[in-house]
Amino acid sequence: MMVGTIYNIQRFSLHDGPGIRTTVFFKGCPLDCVWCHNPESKEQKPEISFYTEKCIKCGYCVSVCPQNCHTLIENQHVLNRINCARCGLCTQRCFAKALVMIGYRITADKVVAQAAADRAFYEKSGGGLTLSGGEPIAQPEFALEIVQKSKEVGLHVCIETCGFCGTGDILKIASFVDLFLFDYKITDPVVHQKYTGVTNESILHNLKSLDDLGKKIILRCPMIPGISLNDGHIEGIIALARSLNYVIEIDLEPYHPLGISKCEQIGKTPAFDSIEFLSKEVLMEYREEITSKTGIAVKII
Amino acid sequence: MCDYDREKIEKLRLPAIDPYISYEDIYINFYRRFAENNSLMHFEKRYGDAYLYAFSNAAPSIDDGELIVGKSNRKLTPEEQTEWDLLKKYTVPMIALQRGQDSHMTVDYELLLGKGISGVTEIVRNKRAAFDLSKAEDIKKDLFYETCEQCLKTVVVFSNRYADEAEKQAENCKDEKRRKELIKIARICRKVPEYPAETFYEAVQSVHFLTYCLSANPLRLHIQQFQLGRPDRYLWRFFENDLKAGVITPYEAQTLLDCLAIQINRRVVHGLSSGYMVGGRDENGKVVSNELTKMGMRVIEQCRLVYPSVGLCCCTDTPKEDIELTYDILKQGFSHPAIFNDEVITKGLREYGLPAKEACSYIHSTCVEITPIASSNVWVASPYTNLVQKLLDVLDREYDSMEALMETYFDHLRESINANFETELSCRVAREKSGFIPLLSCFINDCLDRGLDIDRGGARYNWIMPTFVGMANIADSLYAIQKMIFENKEYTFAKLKQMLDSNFEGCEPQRLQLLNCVEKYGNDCDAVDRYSGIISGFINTECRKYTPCYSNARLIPSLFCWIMHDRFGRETGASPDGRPAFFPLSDGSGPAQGRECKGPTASVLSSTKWDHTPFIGGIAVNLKFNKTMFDDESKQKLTALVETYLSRGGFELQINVTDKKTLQKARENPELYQDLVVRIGGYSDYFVKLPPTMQEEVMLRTEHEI
Repeated sequence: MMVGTIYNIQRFSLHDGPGIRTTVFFKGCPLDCVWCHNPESKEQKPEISFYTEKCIKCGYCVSVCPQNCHTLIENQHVLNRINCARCGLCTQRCFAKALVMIGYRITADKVVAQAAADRAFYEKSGGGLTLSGGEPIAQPEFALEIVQKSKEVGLHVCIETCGFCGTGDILKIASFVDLFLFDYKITDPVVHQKYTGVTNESILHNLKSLDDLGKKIILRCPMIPGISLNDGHIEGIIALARSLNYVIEIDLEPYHPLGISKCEQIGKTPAFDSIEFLSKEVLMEYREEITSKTGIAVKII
Repeated sequence: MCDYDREKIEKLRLPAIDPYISYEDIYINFYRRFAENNSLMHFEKRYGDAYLYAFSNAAPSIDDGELIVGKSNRKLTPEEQTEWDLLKKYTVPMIALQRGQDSHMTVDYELLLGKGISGVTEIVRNKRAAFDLSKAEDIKKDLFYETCEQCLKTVVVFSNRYADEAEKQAENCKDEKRRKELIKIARICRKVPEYPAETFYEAVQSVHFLTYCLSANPLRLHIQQFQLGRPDRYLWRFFENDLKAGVITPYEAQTLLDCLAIQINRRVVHGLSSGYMVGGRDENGKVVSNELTKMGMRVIEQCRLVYPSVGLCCCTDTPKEDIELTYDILKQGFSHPAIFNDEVITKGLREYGLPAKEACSYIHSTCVEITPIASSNVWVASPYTNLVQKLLDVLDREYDSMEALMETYFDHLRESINANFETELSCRVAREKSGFIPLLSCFINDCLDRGLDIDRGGARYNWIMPTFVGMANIADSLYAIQKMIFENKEYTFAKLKQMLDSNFEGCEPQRLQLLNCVEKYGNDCDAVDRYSGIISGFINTECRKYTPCYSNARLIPSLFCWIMHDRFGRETGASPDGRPAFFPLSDGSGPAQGRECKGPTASVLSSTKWDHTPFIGGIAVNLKFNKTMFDDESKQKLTALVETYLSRGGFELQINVTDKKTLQKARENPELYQDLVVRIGGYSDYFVKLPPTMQEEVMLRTEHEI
């Protein structure tokens, strides 16, 4: 029985595939996208998230921390993360939920059982389970057992992936997956490397392999001003979609700055700090263009 | 009239937003006459005499533009007011008993529309013809029928006075269009409700006029909340015929329904409830879904007023478009239509002994209390019981086990149910002597058959429906005790009581531990949810013990709260679920405010783990969504959510679409709004979890979308 690290199981997920879904957020990602919306998912190691506004200054964390990371100075709670071993003892005694442990170990069986709890809703809505993250295939054996067992109990399965993983792994998993939500972030490999930390060659290779296998794919394209919101990338998306046979939909995801505050909560500095929401209207023209040139439905989500 | 008359509705709705409603114009004359005329021997005769006198001297009120007429809004003159105050002080208490339930019901509109007042009078006369007035028994019965006849006559007289008024206004009317309308109103008021209705317009006027007359009940001076039943059934044949005959268009019919709806707002003061239901199944088991079903719901968006409160009765084969119409209305921020589970309600009514023919014809008697149409003496929400206080009452000692605590709690609750039942029953006995509503009795089965007034046991169904408030708090509190005292052994009952009595003074971390670190009802956690099953099961079993007795006075339980969760909350100390003293109790039967952390699917699963069927007295489950959730794609998913709730046996569902104001409240009071989901560019999250800047952004956009 496989055990893996996740940080959330979100029920009533409406935007990670068809119908009402349960999304399992894996912890750990091989990419390091500067604009990352879920910075708490990057490291596989658990982290301590601190919501300052919830702290009631009870001092319980101060008394349990073996590393003396917490101090109350002039009624201000100061968290020194340098010595933090991320043991999570403080989060267990933080009843105000100001300190929260992000990331926990769980068995594949438990994940499947929790996903199956909402089966009645999936049946009415055509929904199911979505593995997301982080990067699910960064924990390939754990992900494989989840999808396998989900299929055994008849759940519709989606995987949201950045595609940066072993081709063998993704293909093995693919046979238990109904739909891939496959990220296509940046066309130019050099720019890709610059903003995500890796080039996109193996990603494209994996995408092609899935397509060859006849797997249904939704391309998910984060639209980041100054990085991927440009004509060149839109052309890249069009060319890619036309080269594949099984892309059923293309999603344009306008940038939102939620990652910034999440970074702060886990004591990290955001690498991309634009606080402007990208409006849907800006993407309307691109949507028209992509649809007309590929014949594929484009959604702005 | 040729099209939907938006201009008219806009004009009529304005004074209906905050209307002056008063029946004192009628009451003052009733009591004047009643006090003066003691030459008549019998209470009944004096009632009938005063009733006719009161309505004959009340002022008809027809405002410019009205198509459906009948309302009371005359303010008393200062002299009259002085007289009325005296009457209220000395005369009214001698005659009228103001205690106990009333109205909340739907009368027999089929009878009214099919036979007219004249036809009902005929029935009454036939009954009287058979009496032998040399027998005391027959004299008693005849007095009842005689008063019925007098009251029926009163309605006809009053309707004709409206006709006179319309004619008078027509004479002086310079606007040709309005003059024609007034002439038509006069013609219709001369015909209905006296005679059977023949057109849609006549039917709507007839229904309104009788309901309006019933609303002035001299022995019950507070505002009466009559419900309009199932308009998509009783109005359908008129609409269909008119349409075929080419005398009406759907737009004209919508205008008339809107006029009817506006008059509800001028008949019932704010803060109460009045409305109707649409959909469901007819007595042949066929789904009711027609143009009037939809028009009945569209009234909400056309009129944009607090009433009518509309319920859509959903069956397994209710057309999707009817359900989707509710979303289109809800997403605009209206609190209705509410969705009722026809399968569950019909089953519940059958189990309480209703024949199939009657079980399909019920009404939400204001909020969610279900009563059979045309045959109920309704006694809903009598009384409200505070489930949490009953627990706090017994926390004054140590218990060896959860079972021991539950036993003591249930004993306490049992005593309260019994005491309350005795009080309500006693009140009914009192009303047998002092209550008297002959006009209403003419339209409630089987009063005329039995020769008994509705207040004297004439109705076919005389249920008493107590309701229990704070279901989620009690489940959460019991589980908190189980976990913290018995499992984790964190503290004793004495310590818990001390913390509760001091409202967690100096123990905020412990309160937060109870609130945040113990699982809560509404999150699909069996260990907690089982308490809702235990509590509802106990209430149901207890109530069944009282069946049937005194004129079919079954005790039928309910689990809704109207505004009592707030009122009880304000007088209830801190509870073991981490709720601070004086905070509202949970509303309805879903999770307590802000405690749903796993989303609506988990909440729906939790609230349907126990059997709703016996709770015909009403169950309300609320789900909150922000407006941002209502795009086309999400709409399909919300439909699936609702369908799953219904297929799991959920009784009623109220979807609240929150606006900017709610978001503002959520920022100020995050603890109460932890379940509020909003959508932010491609993803949904709990509003209170967002950082302040993001909350700002969502609020800005919410406002934008209104």
